[in-house]
Amino acid sequence: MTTLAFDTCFGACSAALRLRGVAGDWQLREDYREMATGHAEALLPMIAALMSAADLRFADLRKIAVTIGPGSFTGARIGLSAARGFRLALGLPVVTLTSLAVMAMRADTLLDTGHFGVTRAGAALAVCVDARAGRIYAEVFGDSIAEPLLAPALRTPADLAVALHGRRIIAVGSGGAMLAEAVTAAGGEAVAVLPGVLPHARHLALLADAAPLTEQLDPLYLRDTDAKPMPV
Amino acid sequence: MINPVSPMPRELLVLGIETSCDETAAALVVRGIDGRGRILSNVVRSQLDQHRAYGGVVPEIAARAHLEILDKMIAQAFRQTSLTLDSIDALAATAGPGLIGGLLVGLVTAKAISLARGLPLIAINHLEAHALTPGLTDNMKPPYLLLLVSGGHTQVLAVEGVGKFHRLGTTLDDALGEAFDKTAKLLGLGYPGGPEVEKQAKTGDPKRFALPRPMLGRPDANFSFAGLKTAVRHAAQKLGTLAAVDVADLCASFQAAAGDSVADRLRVAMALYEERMGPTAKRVLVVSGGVAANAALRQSLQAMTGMQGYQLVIPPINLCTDNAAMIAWAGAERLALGHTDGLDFAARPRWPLDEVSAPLLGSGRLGAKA
Repeated sequence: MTTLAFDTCFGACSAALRLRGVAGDWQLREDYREMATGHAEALLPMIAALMSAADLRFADLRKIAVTIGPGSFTGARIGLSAARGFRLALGLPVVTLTSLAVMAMRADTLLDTGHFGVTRAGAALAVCVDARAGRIYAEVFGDSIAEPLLAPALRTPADLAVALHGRRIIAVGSGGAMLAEAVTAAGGEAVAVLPGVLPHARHLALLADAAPLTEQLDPLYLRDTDAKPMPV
Repeated sequence: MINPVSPMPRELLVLGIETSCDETAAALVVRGIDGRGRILSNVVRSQLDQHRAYGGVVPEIAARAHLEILDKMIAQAFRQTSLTLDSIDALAATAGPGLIGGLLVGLVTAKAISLARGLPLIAINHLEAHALTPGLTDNMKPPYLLLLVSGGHTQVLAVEGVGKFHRLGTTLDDALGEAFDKTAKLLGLGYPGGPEVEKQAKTGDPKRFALPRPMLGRPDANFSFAGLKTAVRHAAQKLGTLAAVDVADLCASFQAAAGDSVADRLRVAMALYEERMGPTAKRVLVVSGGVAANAALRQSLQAMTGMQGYQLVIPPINLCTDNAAMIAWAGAERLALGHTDGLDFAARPRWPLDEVSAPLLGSGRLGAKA
C-alpha cells in the first residue's frame, strides 16, 4: 500500500513515501525543507527524487495524501494542485488531512520523547497558528487525532479559551503562546510548547493509513478574501 | 533547457493549460510534421461573474476559482476528443506573466501530470502564446509585426522567431483595454467595460467631443492612454448629468481618438520594423489580445494596413482573448525546437517578451498581467 504524501501549507515543504520493504517491513522515505517561499518550485523535484531513490514508478503508488490547510492560501493551493494533477494522471485514491492534524501528530511524537516536560495524557492538544490580527487557526485534539475535540477554525484566543474551559491545555504552534495566555488569564491551566512546529509529510503519510478516502480535494481556507464589493 | 539531441520531425500533440488571469482553460492542439496547427479541443471557463461585483479581477478569488475547476476543464478537453493522457507528447502551461496565485495552480497541476506520466513540460510565456497564435490560425510564421492589445498590455513588437522578440513600442501608462474599462467605469457602464463602451459608441457621434489623440506625431512607437481617459472625465464632468446620447457620444469620441492614436503609433512601428528587419521585411501586421475584438479598432487597422501595404492578420476572437489552444500551440512550437522546462520552473508574474529593452516608466505596472 505505497503512499505518497506531501505538504506545502506553511513554512515548510515536505514529501514522504510510505512503502513496504523487501522484508515486508514498513519503510518511510522523506524530504523536509523549511522555506518561506518556493514550495511550487521545490515540491515536484522533491517527489521525483524520492521516487527515484526508492526505485519506484508512479504506477506503483496506491494512495495520495495531501494537506488541505489551513495555511497560506497559495501554499494550500500548491499541494492541492499537485494532488489534483496526480489524481488526473494516475486515477489514484486520495486522502486529505488538515495541516493542524499533521502538526498534532508531529507534536505528539516530539512530546513523547519526554524532553519538553509536559504530560500529554489527559490534556487537550491545541494546535494553534498565528493568523495575525489577534486571531489563530486552531484545531484541538484529545487522545485521537482522527477525532478532534474542536474542528479547525479561525478564532480569537479568548474565544477558544472559553470553549476549552475546564481542560488542561498543551498549546503548540506559532499561536500557542497566544492561547496559553488567554487560558491562563481566564483562570485555566495551559502551557505553550513547540512554537516552531510545522507540518511534516512523514506524519501525514502515517495518518493516511487510517484516513478515509475522499473525492474532495478542496482547500480549507478558513478565511474569505479581503476584497470588498463595489458600492452599488 | 534545450535537449542535446535535435528532435526528429514528427507530429506533436500538446495539452495546453491557461490560468494566468480570469479564464480557466485547457486545450489539445496538434502540430503536424508540416508545421501546421490544428485544434482538437479548446475549452474556456470565464470567471467574469465571480469578479463582476468587485469591478475588476480579484487575484485571490481568481486563484480559488482556478483550483476549483482546472482539473475538470482538462478532463473536458480530453472528453471532447477520443484521446487520453496516453496520447499526448507534452504539456504546456502558462507560467507568466499574470496573477501568481492562478499561475501556480496551472503550472503545479501541469508539473504533477508531467512527472506522473513522464511527459515533457513546457512553461509558456502567455504573451508569446498570443504572439505565435497566427501560426496556429493562419499558418503565419515569423517574422511579422505584432500589436498586442489587452486589458494588461499594449505593445508593438517585431516577432522574429519562437522566443525572439524585439519591442518597438509600449504604453507609458494604461493599457488600451484598461483605458476602455476605466472609461466605462467613469461613465457608469458595466464591467467589463470594453464591450460596453463599444456598444454605446455604435450609436454615438465620434466627432462631438474633440478628445486628444495621445502621442500623435511622436517619432517613437510608444502609447499613452491615461490622458485620453482623463479628457473623457473632464468632458463628462462639464456636462454634469449625462443623458444616454451624451454617454454614446463620449464613447464614440473616445473610441475614435484611441483608434487614431493606435493607427498613428503603428505607422511609426512599421517604419521601425522595416528599419530593423531590412527592406525585404515581410509586411504583415498581426493583432492579438482581447481588445482585438473591438470592431472599430479592426476597421481602422484594416484601412491603415491597406494604405501602408501591409497584410492584416487577426486571429478569430476566441483565440485573441485568453485561451489554452494558444498555450498548447506555443508549447508545440517550442517542443519542435527541442525546448522543454524543468519541474523547478518558477512562475513569473512579470515576464516581458523582450527582456533586453528596459521597462518604460509606468508601463504596465498597474495591470494584472503587466
